[in-house]
Order: sequence, then structure tokens, then C-alpha cells
Amino acid sequence: MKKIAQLRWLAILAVFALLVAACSSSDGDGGSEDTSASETTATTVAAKDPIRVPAINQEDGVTAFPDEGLAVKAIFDWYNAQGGLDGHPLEFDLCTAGDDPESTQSCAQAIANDDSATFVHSIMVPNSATLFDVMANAEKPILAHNQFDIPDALQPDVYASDPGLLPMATTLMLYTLEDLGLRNIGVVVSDDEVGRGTGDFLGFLVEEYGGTPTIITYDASVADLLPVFSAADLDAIDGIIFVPTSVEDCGPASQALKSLSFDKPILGGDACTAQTYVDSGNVDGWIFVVGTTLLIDGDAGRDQTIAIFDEYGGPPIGGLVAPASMGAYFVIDVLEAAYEAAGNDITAMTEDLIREAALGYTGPLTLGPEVFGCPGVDPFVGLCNTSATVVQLEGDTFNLLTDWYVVDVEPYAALLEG
Amino acid sequence: METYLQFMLLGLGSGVIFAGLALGLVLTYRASGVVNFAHGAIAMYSTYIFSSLVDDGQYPIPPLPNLLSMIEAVLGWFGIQVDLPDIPPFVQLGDPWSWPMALIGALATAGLLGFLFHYLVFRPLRYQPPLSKVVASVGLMLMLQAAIVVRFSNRPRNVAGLLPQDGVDVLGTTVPADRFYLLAAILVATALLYLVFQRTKFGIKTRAAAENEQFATLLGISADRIAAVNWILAGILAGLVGILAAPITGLNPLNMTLFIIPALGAALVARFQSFWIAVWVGLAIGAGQSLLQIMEIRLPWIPDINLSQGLPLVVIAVAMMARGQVLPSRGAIERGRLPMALPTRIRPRLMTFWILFAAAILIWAPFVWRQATINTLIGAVLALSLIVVTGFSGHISLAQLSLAGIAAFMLSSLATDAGWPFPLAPIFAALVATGFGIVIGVPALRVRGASLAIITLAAGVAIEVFLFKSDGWFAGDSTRHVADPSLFGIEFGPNSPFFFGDGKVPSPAFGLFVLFMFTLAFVAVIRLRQSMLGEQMLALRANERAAAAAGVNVTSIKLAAFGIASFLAGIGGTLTAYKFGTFNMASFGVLGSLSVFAFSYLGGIATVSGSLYAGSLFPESIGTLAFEKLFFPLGRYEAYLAGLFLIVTTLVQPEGIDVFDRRERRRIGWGFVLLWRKATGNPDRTKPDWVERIYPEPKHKKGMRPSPPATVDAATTHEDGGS
Repeated sequence: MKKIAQLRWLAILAVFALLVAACSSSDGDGGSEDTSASETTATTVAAKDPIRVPAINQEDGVTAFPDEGLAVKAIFDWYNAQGGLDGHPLEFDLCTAGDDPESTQSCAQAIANDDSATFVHSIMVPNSATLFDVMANAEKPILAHNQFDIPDALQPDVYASDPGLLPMATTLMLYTLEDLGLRNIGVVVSDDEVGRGTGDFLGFLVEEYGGTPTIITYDASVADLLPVFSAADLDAIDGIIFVPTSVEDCGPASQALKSLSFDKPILGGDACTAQTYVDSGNVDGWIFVVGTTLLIDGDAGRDQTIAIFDEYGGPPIGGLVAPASMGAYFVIDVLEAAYEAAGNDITAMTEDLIREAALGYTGPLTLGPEVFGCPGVDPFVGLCNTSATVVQLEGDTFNLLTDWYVVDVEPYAALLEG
Repeated sequence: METYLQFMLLGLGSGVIFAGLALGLVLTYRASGVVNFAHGAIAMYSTYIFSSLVDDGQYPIPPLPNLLSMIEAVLGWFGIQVDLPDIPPFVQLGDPWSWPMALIGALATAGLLGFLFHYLVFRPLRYQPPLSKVVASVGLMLMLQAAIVVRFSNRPRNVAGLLPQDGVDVLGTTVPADRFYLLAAILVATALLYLVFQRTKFGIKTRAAAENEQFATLLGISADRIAAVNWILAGILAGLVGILAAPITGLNPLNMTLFIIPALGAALVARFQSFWIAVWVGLAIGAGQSLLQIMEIRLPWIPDINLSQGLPLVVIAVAMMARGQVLPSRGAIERGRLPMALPTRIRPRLMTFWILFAAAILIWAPFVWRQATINTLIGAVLALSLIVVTGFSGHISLAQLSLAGIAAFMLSSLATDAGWPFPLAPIFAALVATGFGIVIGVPALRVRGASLAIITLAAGVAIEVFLFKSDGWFAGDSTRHVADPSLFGIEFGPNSPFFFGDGKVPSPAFGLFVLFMFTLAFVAVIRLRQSMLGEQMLALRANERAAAAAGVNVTSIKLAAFGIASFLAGIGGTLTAYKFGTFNMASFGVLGSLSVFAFSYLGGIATVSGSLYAGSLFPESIGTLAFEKLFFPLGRYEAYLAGLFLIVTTLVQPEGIDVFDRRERRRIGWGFVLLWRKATGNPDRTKPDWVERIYPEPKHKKGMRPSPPATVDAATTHEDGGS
């Protein structure tokens, strides 16, 4: 019995040691640190009061976007090192959520209940319904929210820099049908709410623009995508549009299509531009729709951002890091406008002023397209950016294929009502 | 017909993965009687090691205790900052490795994991009931998955294909060659295992140890050593499957873990005994899923209800119905017991104190503590459901969160879509969950232990696939809404006004409502424990045949346990729905069910007050918040530590935190009494009543196990052993 008791206490001691080790580990990924930008830039920024940037990002759990959080932090660090907003450093106050809705709710409540928080910078928050619910009750605007599905674009008081599904899908479709001249399009989407909604929408677009859609759905839990693609009768398809449910699906999809010797155009969303896939060569030749110049080689903003990431510890720029980075630039732009509207008085930067700054913001959006304006067309009020373009990956270079498309999303309102 | 044959062939990719994993599951069970839910996680972990070695030449070190950090932390409390060496997250082993070397390194790791799992976890648990082993393997699964998230984040990794991927034309279709090589590898492994188990001394010894460990030991066979070798082999097999299959499946922390479900189905059909049957059924599941893929497109009469995803569940259901007691019991020397279901009673004064204390927190404490208290209480209601079904009646259910989801989505349909008022809507929603729970409980009439765990896990997946992902009342794939509850014009939702407090969300009114519901559930479960029904459940848990002989209606008691537990889970689900207001399937996933089970076990699965400890371990609950306030944010370490705690608890405190707390309070309290008596010269050695109430003296003598040391005969006992 004594031995068991000793064992018990030894085990408890070991666990405690692990906790402390986890706490003090210097590997840089130890949990949801309060990554305050002001800490890292205190020596380079003027001593004026900081402007808080309350932010939420899903970083813990199995589905997580830590790179996107790192990218945003690096940009704020760089901005502060340049002198901040008229000498006021932007204090990046990040609340990291897990993939459980409870943690998103806790983060959202913390910001909603914080009188000094006048908005929330939403980086990557797939549990957006929870975030929207809390912030709508608190009447605080949401800036730079990355839109994962159509309901995100319908949410009032959300001001997104990323064009999201509607403009990007339309751009992809226009390019596919008009520039490439393809008619029979295979639309590959995941078999879940977001995927099915996307599939329906893309299918509608293909028909609307005179093409013939073949919707191919796959379940994220299947082990092998080969039967999924085989069932689609690829001979009758001129090209494939692949919209993955998660970034990890891009690799197996490319393998399956290679196995079937599919040599027609493959078009995809920007998630598959992650550096891993670029390095692997798996998505070489794929065409991607993008909403930011950060994914266009040779663009000055891309080079500048890569330099920022090199200096301030940012991640590789591919995948969803690019729209997240554009979101950070957008927040900076909005805060600059709000600061000016507040008569250079940060205490006067209220929720209403931030909202007005976002609403009145017409761009040009830094590192984004030329056309930008909030609010979006009713009912897509949060959709400030309706522009996108397409690039093709050749080797490790993203080449711009066409001009920016400016998409009119107004007709889609009727579609939603239908 | 040719097309259908082609698609069966195309299912080879999935089939070989399921078959490979099923093979390892059978091997592990035959070696040590463990249904290893972490088997897929070993495959995933080894594949990450392989990828890391090939890409970067780095070997990841899992988060480990660093005693130097403890010194740093203690000195830090006194304001002394020192920087002692940390354990590095990765060890750089030169340039990127060639793939053969990386393969050897990764498979060695897989084998080592198997060895460590056996010696550190399952060997100490070898005489424990299946419940402990299921919990430990779930803990290992969570821990491995979280270790990968901590070290590699979710940045996608590309795994180079080791096998040729040229297309091979068969039956008029092109199948990549790697599927055939993988199939050949699995078949060779199966043949080798078959021959080893049939023809070699090692195999015969393994079988002997499984048949009757006592006699095997008398013959000089070391069951431990044999089990260890088999665990190593199973680990290597998992690693090999993971690495070779990664180009087909992609690599992320989740998918291999989920592939364990069809693999479990295949192993279940093989009764965890026959390597060949497990492999063929694994292949058949892959082929069947692929076949259904084309049938759903070509044959319009096939309903669009995700049949291909549901196939493994159908296989499990058929296996269960056809075979009944599917898992053969092993002949162990003796059995441990399930956690003690301590007698309990309602103490009005104590309960009133705690209710008032909780109410005070809900009204006056800062909002973060209010929200944490709400999360704790809702978690505790969910834990109460498991206390009834597992703690009292001895049935492992891994579908409780899915049942909660049924109630939540039903509530949305009733309250939002159909306009049903409160409290009719939530009560009816919970009753619907009860109905589903009773249906899930029907298999419990024939199976128990690990078999039932697999079946209920499959039921959870079925609920997700067939109900949540479909349109209708239970649709959870789309965003659902429920308005704040109100009665007689008084609102008490998260955003409702409250006449007192700080005016921040969540509203204290909602907190008080949740507290009221928890109190009702808590009292009801105490009453159940005290009632004849509760006694009958415990009798059933202890020995089903003896209970039946004593006149207990086994069928009705089992179904009653599942029904009551499902109603409680349903109440938990409706509270969760009200808490979010806007919610979807993300709150009620299958892996969430595993976590709920794990937390409930940690808290104390057989004691009613254990529900509160369990609730304190849920995400964003009082326990996690207090820890984060006192120490540091858990972040990505939360799941890792939860897995670790689960394993440690299973090993050293299988009765959970509640019983540990009671025992220590009794020991300390009794110590103080003795000290006081010594100081006052009182020679009395009798224990006061209150000491016994905290934790009753075990009836068996010190140092002896409570269950009789006897060889367990599969024909005469059930799987769980006595209480």
C-alpha cells in the first residue's frame, strides 16, 4: 500500500513537472500565450499610449491556424517598429481559441465584456456562429474576418478584407468558362454544410454562365479519394474545380488525380497554395483563385511581407497566411482612418468610429485589389472586397493569369431567397 | 456489373488501410486482451516521425517533464530569474535522412511506443476490467494526437510515396500500383502472423497465455514478455501501414485516428481472434464503401443518406447481432474491480451551502468565472449521464455526447421552427434523446465491456452520419438557433437581463437556470443510487447472472439505465444549445464523446459527486480556468495533459479524483483526530461517524484485492468482473 501511495505521489509530481515544463518551454509553441505586440516592439516605438487590437484566432486543438496568428503578429510588430500609428503602438491582444466552440465563446465574451475593446480582429475563426452571436449582442464590429462560408458574408457588422466564397467562386467560374473556354466542369466539394453550400453555388454559377456542372462530393473521413474521382467520369469533364474542406485534402486529391492521369486543368482555392504543397510539386500547374496580391510573384507587397516575416518571425506566406496577412493590413488601414476621424485622440476611437471607418473605407486595400468598399451590397453587407484574380503555380512561382475581376454579387441575393 | 467490380477494386486503397489497422488490433487483443483505440494514433505518430526525418532530419521530442523547469518556476515565485536548459522540441540529426533510414527510425519508434504502452500502461492494468483499459487507450490516443499538434502544429506535411504509383490496368480500370504493393505487404504480414501463431512456439505460447494465463505461467511461459513482443510487432505494423498509406490518405493528426472505427468493425467481425477474417473484412469494408460511392450515383433508388460512410457501422451492427458476446474473455489469473460506487445521501445543509455558494459565484463573480461555472455545471450533467450508465450499471457508452446533440437539434426544431414553448420543448427534446438512448442500449442486452464500447462508438458515428449530416429535425451540419428560454415572461438565457450584477454576458439568470437544472439532475441521481433500481443496477454491474438469479429483471434494468442516462445527456444537450444560442455539430462530435467519457472517468465515474470534478475538467470550466489563472494558459497542451492525466489516473487512482479526494480527506481528518486525542490523553481508537461518511472503510483486509482470486472462465463469467 505504501508503495502504491508513493507511486501515486510520484506520478502527481511527474505530471506537475510536465506542466511546469510545458509552461516554461522555450520552443515557442507553448499554449495560448498572450502575444502582445507591444512587448516585442517596446524599444522601437514611441512612448504614446497603445491602441488595443483585440483579436481571436483558432490556434489550439487539432484544426488550428497558428501560422496565420504568427503572420498577423509579425505585421503588427513591423508596423510598431515603423513608429506605430502616430507614435501609438498597436497592442495586439490575441485570444487563442481551440476547435471547441466553448473556447471561441469565451474569447468572444472576454472581448464583448471588455469596455476598452471597441472591435475584434477575427483572424481564422471557423466557429464563426458562436463569435457572431456574442459580438452581435455586444454591438461591436468584427474586422478582417476570414469568410469560410456564405452565412459569413451575410452577417451584419462584419467587415472582411478577404473576398470569400462568392467573389472568388465567381472569378474562378468566369476564368474557367470564358478565358479557358471549358464547358463541362467537375466541382469537387466536401460532403458537409460548407461544402454542399459551395457545391450548390458553384453548380448554379456553372449553369448560369452556360456550362454543365458535375458536383462531386467527398467525405473528409474517407481514406482514399480515388473512388470519388473515378465515380465522376472524368473523361466527360473538361476541368476540375477543387474546393477542399481542409488544407490536408489537397495532397490526397492531387495524388488521386495523378493516378488517374488527369491532365486537364485543375483549379482550386487559395488553401492549396500552402508552402508544403508548393515544395512537394503536387499542385504544380494548378490554377488558384486569390484575393490578395500576396500570392502573386513579383508583387512588391509580397516581397515586402516576406521580408517582414523574415525579420519578425512570420511563417511561409502561402495558403491561408496570405488572406490573414491582408486582414492585418486592412485592420491597420481602418484604425488609421478611425484615428484621423477621432481627431488623433485614441480615447475617442469608439465602436461607432471604428464601424464608420470600416464602412467608409474605399481602399485601395493594401496588398489587395484596387476596388474595395464597405458596406457590401445588401444582404452581403460584410462583403467589402468583391475582387479576385487567378494565378498559376509553375515550379515555385505563382504567375498572374488575368486582371482582377470585380464581381457583382447583387444577383446572388435573389438566389439566396430562392 | 464490370463497373461495380471496378469500383470494388478501387476500394483497395481504403481497404488495405482498414485491413492493416485491423490486423494490429487483433494482434494486440490476442497478446494482452486490450482493444487499443490508440492503434491508429500510433500509425499517425510514426508517419509524422518519418516525414520529419525525411524532410528535415529532425526527430520530435514529445513534451516531457523537465525538472530544471520546476526549479526555474519555484525560483521565479521568489523573483529570481534563472535560465536553465530546456528539453528541445526537436533533435537535429544531421541532414534530411534517406527514406530507408527514416523508415527504420519511424518503425523503431512505433515498436518502442508499443513496448512502452505495454510496460507502462497495459501491463499494470492487466487484471483491471475492460473499462480501465478502454479509458487508458483513449488517453493514449488523445495524448499522441495532441503531441503531434504541439510539435507539428497543423501545417500540412507532404509524405513521399515509397511505393510505385504507376497505374495498373485491371478489369478495365486503372488502379495505382501502390495499392497492390500495400495489399501484398498486408497479406504477407497476415500470413506470417498466422504461421507464427499456428506453427511456432512463440505463437503457441501467446495463445496459451491468452487461453489461461495461470496455467501458462505454471508451464514457465512469461505472458508479460510474450505480450511485450506482440505489442512491439503491432506498433511496427501500425507504423508501416501509416507510412505506406500516407500518400493515399494525406497526413494530419485526425484521419488515421478516425480510420480506427472501420478497423474496429473488421476486428470485431473477426472476434479479435482471426487475422485472416479481420483482413478480409477490412478489405471488404473498403471495397463496399467504394462500391456504394458509384451505386449512390448510378442507382437513384438508393437513399442519399451517406451510406458509404455508414458502412462500417452496419458491419459492426451485423457482427454484434450475429455473434452476440463478440469478444472472447481471456483467462486471466484474477480481475480487478470497477470503481466503487460509494453509498451517498442527500445532506440538505451541505447541499444548500454549495448551492448558495455557486449562486453567489454566478451572480457576483467576474463573468469569466460565471461562464466557467456554467460550463462546469453543464459538463457535470453530461458526466451524471455516464455515472448512471457506466458507473452504476457497468456499461461503457461512448455515444453520450451524440445523444446530447440529438436533444439540442430537436430543441432547435421544436422551439425555433415549430414554436414550442419552454419547458415543453427541452423536455420533449430530452425524451427524444432518451428514445434513441434506449435503442443504443439494446445491444447491451447481449454484450458488455470493450465490445459495447465499440458498438456505442459506432452508434455515435451513425448518429453523426445519418442524422446530423442529413436534413430534418436533427440536422446539425447547418447552423441552428434557439432563443433564450423564458417562462411567464421572465427570460433566463445567456443574453437575458438580470436585475443584479455587472450586466455582462453570460447573464447570471442563465447561470441560475443551469444551476437549478444541475441540482435537479444531481438529486435525481443520488435518489437513483439510493433506490431499489440503483441497487439493482449495481447488482447487475457486479454479476449479471447472480443478479438474474436473485430476481433482477436484467433487460428492463439495462434499458432503464440507458434511458435515464440518455435523458440526462439530453438535458445536457439542451443546456448546451441554450448556452450557445447559435450552434452546430461541432459541439457534439464523436471525438467529443470520447472526451466526455474520459473526463467523467477522471472525475470519478461511480460516485455522484464525481460529476462535479468531471465538469471541472471540461473545456473552459472552473478547473481549467483556475489552472490557467494560477499557472499558465494550457492552449495546445490541454488535450495532451488531459490524455496524460487520464492514463495516470487509470494507473494510480482508477476510482477517480472524487474517491482520491475522499480518501485523502479521511486520512488527514483521522490523522488530526488521532493527534488531538493523543494531545488530550484520550486513548479512544474508534473512528467518528463523519470519518466513515467521507470514505467508508473498505471491507477487505489491507493488502488484499476485494475480488476473489480465481481463474476467470469465459463460459461462466462476463467481461467486466465483479465490483
